[in-house]
Amino acid sequence: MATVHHSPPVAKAAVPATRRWRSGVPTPRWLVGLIVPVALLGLWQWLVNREVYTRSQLPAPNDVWLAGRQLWEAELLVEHVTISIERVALGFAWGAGIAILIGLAVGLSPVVDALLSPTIQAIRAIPSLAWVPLLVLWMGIGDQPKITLVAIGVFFPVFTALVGGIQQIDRRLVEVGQAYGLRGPALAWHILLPAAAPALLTGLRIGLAQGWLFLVAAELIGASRGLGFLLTDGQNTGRADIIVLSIVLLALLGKGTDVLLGLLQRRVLRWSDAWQA
Amino acid sequence: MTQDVTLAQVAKVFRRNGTSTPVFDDISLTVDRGEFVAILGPSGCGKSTILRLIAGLEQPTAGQVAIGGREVSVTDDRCAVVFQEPRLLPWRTVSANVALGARRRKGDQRHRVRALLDEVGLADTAKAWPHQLSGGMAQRVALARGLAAEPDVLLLDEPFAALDALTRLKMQDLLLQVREHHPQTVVLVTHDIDEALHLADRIVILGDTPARVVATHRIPAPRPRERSNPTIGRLRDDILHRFGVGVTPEREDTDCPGALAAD
Repeated sequence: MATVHHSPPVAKAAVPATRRWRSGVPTPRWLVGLIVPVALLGLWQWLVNREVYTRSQLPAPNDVWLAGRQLWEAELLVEHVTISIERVALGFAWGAGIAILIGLAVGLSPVVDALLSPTIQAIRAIPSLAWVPLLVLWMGIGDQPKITLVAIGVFFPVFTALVGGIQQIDRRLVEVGQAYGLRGPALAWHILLPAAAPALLTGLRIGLAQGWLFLVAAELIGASRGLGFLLTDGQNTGRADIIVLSIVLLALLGKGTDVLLGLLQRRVLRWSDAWQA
Repeated sequence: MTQDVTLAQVAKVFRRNGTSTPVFDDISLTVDRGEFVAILGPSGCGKSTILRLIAGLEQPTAGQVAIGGREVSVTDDRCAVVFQEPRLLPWRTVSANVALGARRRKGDQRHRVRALLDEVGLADTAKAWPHQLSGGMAQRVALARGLAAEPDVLLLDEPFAALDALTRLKMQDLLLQVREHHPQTVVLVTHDIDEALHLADRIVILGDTPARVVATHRIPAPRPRERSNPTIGRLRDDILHRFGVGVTPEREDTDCPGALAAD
């Protein structure tokens, strides 16, 4: 083996969880991310103190906290949050699952592409709220139309990202798969999906955000539970604290679920050699 | 010797947007079992197309391509290709990339992968990602992947062309060394005359458009060969002349190697 140079691979440093800023003090990344929310909270309290708006227009942070506690004690908070998470989770699973199947078919077959893509693009142009009356007519006012609307919202970003990702796959890597005997589903599983994974994961994250968006649209109309209902309820009863509470909860849940997907993304794409500032 | 790879009156025409480009219209070539043949020719003469035809990655427009008398097909597992670029799957570790080659072989795959990585001197990098490797290391992984398939015919498509000069020479020696344990038929496509002279039993020179075989040379020296071997030196001059290198101005009646007469 003397003829071949032996050099161990240079281990690439993992993404640093902490980073040294100019001061030289290591700062965790999440702490830096909290600066703006805390500042906003301060600004909010300051606006309340200055009485720029009346208390019924802009409740104090503490009022919102109390409204949350009240709902918690009435055992309603958990119920509203759980049902919303459930609808998003189911809608996301359905929407993303169907998007991956159809996306694979469209990405892999020019015939399917020519057949389905124009229609899918046309359906995509329909505003989310336009679906609501039809879904209510078809499915009533239970969970089903809401989950369906979330699924519709999730479908398009995932579908578009996956098809785009498949179309960008390096032909030479597909050829490697073929040269080593991969065909059909095996080729899709071992080459195409991993190669399109960066695009797909981006699509899933956008899809999830869109899912929360569509959830609120679904729950604004004909719902008796969920955060969207809480929002309308607050509006109808003139409770600004409830409205703000719903908004804050939606932000937290949206961010929380996105963090989970972000962790999945990091894990799946740990091979990636992407640029990092 | 038994014939292994045969190309019989093979023609290949690429059709794109209504225009058809003939790469070659009549190539016949046989490679014996266990033989190491180098196909030598200038860039763009269709050398790689021959390799891709043998691999089943392209279909001949006319004629037949067979291995061991049986025509090749896309689903063939009798060949393994090492491409000019390593073409490692970036989402698989080094050992998982080699395992791709071994996936159709029975037996203990992990043991085979480890043994092959050891042979190409990369046992320590089994868990590394492809982007962490140097060009030479990546190409050694690609070679291990090809060998892992235990093919009847190993196809090498200018596998060392993109490497720096020194690494290229080391890779050539590594290939010869590895071949002692894997004595299968090898077809090497290259534009590097020295590489062909150092490695092959026989050199097939391709030229002209559409391409054809303009000469064949059996190399009369046993391996391992000294790179300064005088017999090989004379053969090198000969081949260089064919390509129009080192020709005196009055002899230089053409700059197209293909215009030279076949042996």
